Amino acid sequence: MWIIAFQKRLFAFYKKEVRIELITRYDMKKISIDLIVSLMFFVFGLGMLFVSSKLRFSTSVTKFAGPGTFPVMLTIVIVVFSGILIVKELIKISNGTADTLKIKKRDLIRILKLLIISVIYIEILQVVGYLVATIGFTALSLWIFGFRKKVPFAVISIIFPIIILIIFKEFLNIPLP
Amino acid sequence: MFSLINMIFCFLGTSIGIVFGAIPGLTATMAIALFLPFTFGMESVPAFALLLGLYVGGVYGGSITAILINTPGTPGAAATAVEGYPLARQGKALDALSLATISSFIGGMFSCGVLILLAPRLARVALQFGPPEYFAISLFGLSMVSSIASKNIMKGIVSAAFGLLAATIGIDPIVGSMRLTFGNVNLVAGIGLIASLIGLFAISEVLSKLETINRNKGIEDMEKITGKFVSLKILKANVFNFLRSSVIGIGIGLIPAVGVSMANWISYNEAKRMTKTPELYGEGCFEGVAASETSNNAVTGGALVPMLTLGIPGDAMTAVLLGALMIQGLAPGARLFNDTPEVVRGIYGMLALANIFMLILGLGLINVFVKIIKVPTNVLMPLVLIMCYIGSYAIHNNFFDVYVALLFGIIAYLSLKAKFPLPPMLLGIILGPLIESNFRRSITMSRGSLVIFFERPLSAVFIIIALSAMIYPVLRENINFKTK
Repeated sequence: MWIIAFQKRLFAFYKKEVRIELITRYDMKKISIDLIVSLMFFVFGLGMLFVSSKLRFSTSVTKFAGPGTFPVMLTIVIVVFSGILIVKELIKISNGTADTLKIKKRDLIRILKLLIISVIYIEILQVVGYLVATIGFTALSLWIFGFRKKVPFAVISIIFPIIILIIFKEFLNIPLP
Repeated sequence: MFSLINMIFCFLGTSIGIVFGAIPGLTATMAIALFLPFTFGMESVPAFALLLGLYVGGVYGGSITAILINTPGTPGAAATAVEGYPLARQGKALDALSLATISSFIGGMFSCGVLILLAPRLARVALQFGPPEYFAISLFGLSMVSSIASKNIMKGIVSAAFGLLAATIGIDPIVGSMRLTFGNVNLVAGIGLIASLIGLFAISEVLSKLETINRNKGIEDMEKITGKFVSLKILKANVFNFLRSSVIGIGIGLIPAVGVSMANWISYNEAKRMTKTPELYGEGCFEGVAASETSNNAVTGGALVPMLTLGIPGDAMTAVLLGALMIQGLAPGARLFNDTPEVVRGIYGMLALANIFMLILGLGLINVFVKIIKVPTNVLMPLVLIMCYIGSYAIHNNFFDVYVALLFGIIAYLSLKAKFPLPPMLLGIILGPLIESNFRRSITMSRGSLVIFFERPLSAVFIIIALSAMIYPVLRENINFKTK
């Protein structure tokens, strides 16, 4: 009996899987975030399993558990459990009960913007120095966060980086770039 | 111990903690993570003065917004909002706030006392532990966090394993050889603990807030602070309530992984069950506020007991504090108590001092805090983000750490979206080296046999609890799944 049930489920699963791909391609709002994150862990685990399987499992100091033993155990745990999560999520999707990603396109764009200026900031910091880069970054990120009052905007973008500079340089003796 | 510098740091920590705790979206965990880089160059005691101040203030601060705008600043004050907000609507905001402050103080001081009494004794017991026991207890802590932090245990396990795996990068703790560094010089020393903490608990929060920034304008319609200080009569009527809630809070603190967010509800429900006037509950009841606020601050000292003696943090906040301990070059356990008693005494003293400052600040300067809370989130978040980047840079003057923080921020943000819990990941990163080296030492002791973990009674008990905490929910869930 259970074989037939399993076959049915597999068939339904296959049919829906094709549809998921269509969904992810054409409708940003209906991605199952659980699936994506589980897949991310799965792929990462598999990759790390491959890398760590090349480490030694026995050394002269530790005969029974070498540098590779623990990472391999962990990657197997990650791969197995995220694998189960992926299968369960796919079944959920085929049943139509999966949670979909609740994020607006506008918010997503904002997050990407913030990440991009963050990377630029970290890079520029190494070239033009702390103060100039940070004042610029503060202003830009305040803007992305939708803060538009002119006077406080300017005051915060200039004063805050200076305060941080003073705390680190004068009080903590930690040099900033 | 109570030098001027320690007192200043403790005062600063407590005030900043209250602000972070009070503002919804900024958490106490985030505060501790953000200020960790500042403590890097400090001596141990002032560092802990600052961090424990943040901890105590952060746990207490949630009550302010819970009472005034019905939005608990931290999950630990959720039950406070149920009773506190109706009181504020009735014009008794100051009554509720002052009661919350006094309750928090009582709970905090009680738990500090328990910490002082219990921790050295437990540390002495821990002295007899060998590698199998340490492995078993760490695994136990990790399994508790994974099973409680998430509805789906499998997500918790994946998250914990990910954290542990991240911790294996770098130099092997026993043999000293390099592994999983992909030829990158920056990875030789491993993933930076502070950088990953900042990513997990601060950057991810900033990214999440970016989504809700336009929907979050409730702070303007805050209730006015009216009324008078809570009367002695109410305090007297709650003596037993204070005691009971403190015991509940401390007990919950002692159990790894349960933490503040559960303590306030349990103690609130107990108060409701035991009361003579159940009809008052839900309409604004002083007992409810007292129960919730006493217990959440009573967790603080309780949670520090397993953290300091066994290295198992009770919740995300104590996990970050454990990280702070390790950054200071101190390891939790019996050696901390034997080798550096002055640090342990400093921790006791600063915890008590933070509670005293909390009482003074909460009763005296509540109006100032309320003004600060009104600073809009869209100003705070960019500033938090800059502190994240500069802080993670400042640890080793290294830009690689900033990218580590950013990467962990993105991983944490996605994990939060998919409901993968973060505390197990954090604990995995922190406990990773300890778990691995104790596991390998045990295996070496037993010449390759896993039986060693079950031969010793203590390690057997903890391993069995840990395994059943992880395996049972998985089985139950999947068997249910098949029968559906």
